Amino acid sequence: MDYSRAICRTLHDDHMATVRVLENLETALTRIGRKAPPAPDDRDLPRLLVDVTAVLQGEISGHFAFEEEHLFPLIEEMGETPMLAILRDEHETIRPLAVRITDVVAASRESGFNPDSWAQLYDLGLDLAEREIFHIQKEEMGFLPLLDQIVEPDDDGALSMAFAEARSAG
Amino acid sequence: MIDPGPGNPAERRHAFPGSILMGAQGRLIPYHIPLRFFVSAAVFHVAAWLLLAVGYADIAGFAGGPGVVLAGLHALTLGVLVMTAMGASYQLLNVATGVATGVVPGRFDVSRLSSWLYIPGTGLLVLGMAIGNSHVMLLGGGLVAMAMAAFAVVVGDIFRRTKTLKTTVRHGWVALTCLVLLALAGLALITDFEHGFLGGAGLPDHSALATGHAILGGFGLMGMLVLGFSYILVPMFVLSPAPDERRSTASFGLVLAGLAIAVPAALAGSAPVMALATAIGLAGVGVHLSLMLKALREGMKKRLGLSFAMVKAGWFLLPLSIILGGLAAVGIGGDNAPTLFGFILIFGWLLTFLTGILQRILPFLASMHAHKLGKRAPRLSEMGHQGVTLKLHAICHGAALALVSVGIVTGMDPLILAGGLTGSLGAVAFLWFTLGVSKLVVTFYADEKLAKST
Repeated sequence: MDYSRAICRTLHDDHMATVRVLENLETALTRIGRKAPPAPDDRDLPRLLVDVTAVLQGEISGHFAFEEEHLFPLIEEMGETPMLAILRDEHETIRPLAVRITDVVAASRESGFNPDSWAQLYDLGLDLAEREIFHIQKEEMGFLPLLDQIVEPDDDGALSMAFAEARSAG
Repeated sequence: MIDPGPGNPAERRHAFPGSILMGAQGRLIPYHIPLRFFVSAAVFHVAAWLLLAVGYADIAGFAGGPGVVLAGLHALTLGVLVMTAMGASYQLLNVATGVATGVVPGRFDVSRLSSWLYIPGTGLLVLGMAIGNSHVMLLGGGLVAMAMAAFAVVVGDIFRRTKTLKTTVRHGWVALTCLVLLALAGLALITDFEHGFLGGAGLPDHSALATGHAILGGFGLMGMLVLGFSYILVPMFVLSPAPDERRSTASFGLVLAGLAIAVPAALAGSAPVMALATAIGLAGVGVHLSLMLKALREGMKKRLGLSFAMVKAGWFLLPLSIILGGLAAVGIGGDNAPTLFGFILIFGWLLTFLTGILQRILPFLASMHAHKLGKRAPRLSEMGHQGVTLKLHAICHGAALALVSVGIVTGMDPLILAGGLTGSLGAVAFLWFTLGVSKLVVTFYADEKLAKST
């Protein structure tokens, strides 16, 4: 994507990283399957789950909050409220999923996965990956191109700074 | 629905292909319009494979004429391919261009009218072909032609008003032109069954006009719509930048030139000119496919699922169909080469590609309707029992293509029968998927109506 505003490029990079990690999660979950937890000597999965929780913290907490606080009002001024209704609705659906996955992964660090906790992670992970990627799809193809047209060059730097702060706070 | 009008900033904001994803629920046409086309297409899909199975003994050396084979062919071309294109065009163009679908003189919705004419008209035409009754064929063909005229009015009106998506619109204009020629040629062929006027007074003979009719339908109407819509849909699904406009224009020019040369060459029965058209068409398709593959490489989304396995198979079969058409035109490949060309063009490229795209569009449409009603949409992959239906369809479809192709090449009719039955099973699975997603949408609205009444 060829965006002219720095804030759109930064958000796009964030999306790229999220899609990559969530597609890896989908691949790993479907490879292992739902029925039995992963083998204890599976070294790739713990590393992947570290990436997943990092993405969830950055993407879900910081990214969503930044959009809602700083970007949605810009779109709202244009009257594009149906678009925002979809994005807000999806944020509200994805947030609790992210929290639950983070909790399941945190619990697994202490005691590993049993069949129940693994099945829980499997269901939540696939649900989150599909919903978040579909959400990013909408933002990439609709929201960011629109934002790229309406953000003034003078505001671009300030928004990028605010995003960096939101990410570190998230 | 709001029509921002040309030049309005609201319309300019929808100048990117992906605007299809945003604000789309505000421009959704009534759910039952696209769904009636998609469900009908899924039913005709089953009918087409079954008719192919019933007529298995006459497929390999098929040379035209009324009967079960011609009925099966039109169950697929009109019943599935054009039916899907109509439903998808009404909804997608409305959303993607930001220009409302709505030729509504008084309270008369032309897109709805087209469905009332087209769905029964196609049924009658297929029935008339199957039983060899030219009066029933003419009645069905007349209804289909009127429906196509209504479709052309609605879609042409959108093309005329939109200032965006130029590549898609260019392809669309050519498709509509081919639609008019296709309908005229089709009605002439049906009339010729009864009156036998073709071949006299400087007119092409029945076989030459049938070849021209096939090229206009397969590469002209359907091919141009598929290529044009691909420039919107593929980048949207894989999350890639829009394809380079200069290269897509070059592809368009080459494909149009190939088509413009192929149709008169077919009518005149000129093999060397057909070979030239094949080469030009192949070059145009080569540029198009290079743009599509570039979109896949650059797309953010790499796990594209079963739907894109179908789409990629369709992309492989597209140039293959052109090559087979060229070989058949110059007399290489034996007596069954024209049949193989027709099968790979229609059941191969077009059907494979469209079922791949339709399995993405249907859940997406359901999701948009859920958003419109403020409901939480189920996951896309949960809709329509995809784990069973779409997998079964893909396996059966691939096996059926292989069996029938080998059957045509070798003249082994039992293989064609096996392929027809396997394809029918896959089509039933796809119908199950389509009904599952459609039922979901209907349930959204039924629940909404109930909630409002209580």
